[in-house]
Amino acid sequence: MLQRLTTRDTLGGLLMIALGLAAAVIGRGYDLGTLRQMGAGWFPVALGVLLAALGLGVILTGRPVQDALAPDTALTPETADRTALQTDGDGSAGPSPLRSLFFVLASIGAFALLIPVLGLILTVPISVALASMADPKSRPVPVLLLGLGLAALTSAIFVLGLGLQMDLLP
Amino acid sequence: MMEILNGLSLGLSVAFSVSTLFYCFVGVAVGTLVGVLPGLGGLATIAMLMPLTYHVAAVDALVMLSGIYYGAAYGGSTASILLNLPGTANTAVTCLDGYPMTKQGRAGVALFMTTIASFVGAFIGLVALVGFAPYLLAAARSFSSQEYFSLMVLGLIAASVLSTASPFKGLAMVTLGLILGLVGTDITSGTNRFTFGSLRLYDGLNLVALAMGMFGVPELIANAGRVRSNIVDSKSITWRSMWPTRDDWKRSTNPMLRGTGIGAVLGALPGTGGLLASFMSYAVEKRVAKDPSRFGNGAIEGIAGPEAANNAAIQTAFIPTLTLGIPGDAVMALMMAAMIIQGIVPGPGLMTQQPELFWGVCVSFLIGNIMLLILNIPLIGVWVKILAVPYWMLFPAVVIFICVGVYSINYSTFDVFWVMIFGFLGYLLAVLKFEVAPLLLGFILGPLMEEHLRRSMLLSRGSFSTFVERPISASFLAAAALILLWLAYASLRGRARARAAKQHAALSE
Repeated sequence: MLQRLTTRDTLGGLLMIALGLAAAVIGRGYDLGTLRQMGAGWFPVALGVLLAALGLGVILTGRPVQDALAPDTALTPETADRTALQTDGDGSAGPSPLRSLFFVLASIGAFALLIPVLGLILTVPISVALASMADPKSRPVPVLLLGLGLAALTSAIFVLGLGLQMDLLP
Repeated sequence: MMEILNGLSLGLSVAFSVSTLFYCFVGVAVGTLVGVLPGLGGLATIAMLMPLTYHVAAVDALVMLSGIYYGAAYGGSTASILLNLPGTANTAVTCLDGYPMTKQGRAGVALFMTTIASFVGAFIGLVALVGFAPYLLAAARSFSSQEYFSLMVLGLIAASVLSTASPFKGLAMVTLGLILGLVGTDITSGTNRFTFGSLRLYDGLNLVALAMGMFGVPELIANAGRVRSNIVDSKSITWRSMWPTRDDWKRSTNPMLRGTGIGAVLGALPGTGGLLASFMSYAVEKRVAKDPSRFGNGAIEGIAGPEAANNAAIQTAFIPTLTLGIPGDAVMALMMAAMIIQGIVPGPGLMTQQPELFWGVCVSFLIGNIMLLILNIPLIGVWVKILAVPYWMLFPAVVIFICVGVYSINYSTFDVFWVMIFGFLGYLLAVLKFEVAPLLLGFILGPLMEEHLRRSMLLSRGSFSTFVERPISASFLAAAALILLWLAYASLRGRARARAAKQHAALSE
């Protein structure tokens, strides 16, 4: 039973139920109106209930654990997307996805925090350095050069080319 | 007929202006580039370049974004053939016979033939677009809110269940997208919905931040630190090696035409598109072949058919978007959003009020496809070299372009933080195996759908039966119901078979 609770589909279904109920509960706070003149709350509540019901459907039709672990190797429209995303020529996997997740998000966050303060030319290399940490094999000097190159490129395209009002330096 | 000719001559004058030609070239070149590079899809790229379109004219913006879309289809086959890695999902099926051809030393022929097939498919698809759009438009004029609402229901159901592994998950994603689309001030009542008191959410969630976060960031995370092991020798693809034999031509002609037919029909239907078209074309070619065992071992029919189908579908996918204002898939939804940002309302009014836009875009497709022919045959060596660009350089660059692009729209760091939030959500959904493309479609259609629902209910004085009393609306809903019934039947039959197989296995033990 516990195993059943932790499959991808069960967790995903629960997430949808939670989001759906939240939308419905918040939507109840707006004017529902009548069927003839629907208020701001009618559509959100209807969609929230629908989403929760679909979440239940996801759980009930979910694949059992054994299935979820077995890799689908057949090429079908369903697996094509994943193939396009994840496999390499020799099928080797990259580094830990959590590491990539953390550094890619950190790089975006750093950009948002620093751009108003430091300007484009200093912010870009810092964000590039953070993003590059997602790859455990990255080396400092090439990353620095890449950061400077991208700072020059983005300044050229966005500020000089398109004339956007962005500070280049602090 | 006269109308079409007049339109085409108007389109020619628009599409041949210097700036439109320039953006057309940028679009197809960038499209080929991202198509060639595995792991960077057309959808993420269109989202990435959307901020640029805020600063250029409407026609140019649309021409460029569409160029990326169909350019990626040309480029995608290159990676499929040379590396056995689909550059985009739609060209995954090209790996099946394209890569074996490379191993047999026939990579040049495969690249040449997919480019020709792509061109043929796109050209005939374009003819269908130009030929059918005016007629569909005439029908669309009689549509009222009820028809639009039902058509959206059909489109959203088709898009979410036909191309995803789990229908419930697809439908859940569409619904979540519709809810996210409601964030902000409700135009009818002025109520601020789901804003949690934040002033900045009054205008709704930022589409570009959502699209980049949901599509771009998970792709980046999945690909960061990947090593590219297969390096292709670009010198081996010479002019001489590209020219197909007479036998190749003979084998490819009919599959190309059949593929185009399949693609043109599926592309115009909501929710099916290039991915399904290319797989269906492959299945058809395998079935009609005299010797099906050749498939998977470098059969040229197996690349010519699907490539033509994919490109024909891409062209006809513009039909519902441009004439009805109802996008059939997530890419088209983004395209529609780009139009709305420019103040253009896609739909029946588009062709009459802004004919230069409609025809200019159509003619640019022809020009763009000719450019692609040149980019992908004489200049194929350039793209092959690009396959060698190391990924450690590419992915930080993509992160930077996402950040600068989003920031440049409103100079708002708030929007950049939203990329982070959506990136996390998108990653979570990818881990849980939910597909985010239907979510984007729902997000863009959400407000429109609510408006049509409210208007229909007002017109019918609060009776839902109005949706089934009007024949056109009823037929859209019937089609949607049929899709759902068919899925339920297929899934029950599949379960029953699996159970029978299990019992059989248990008995024989």
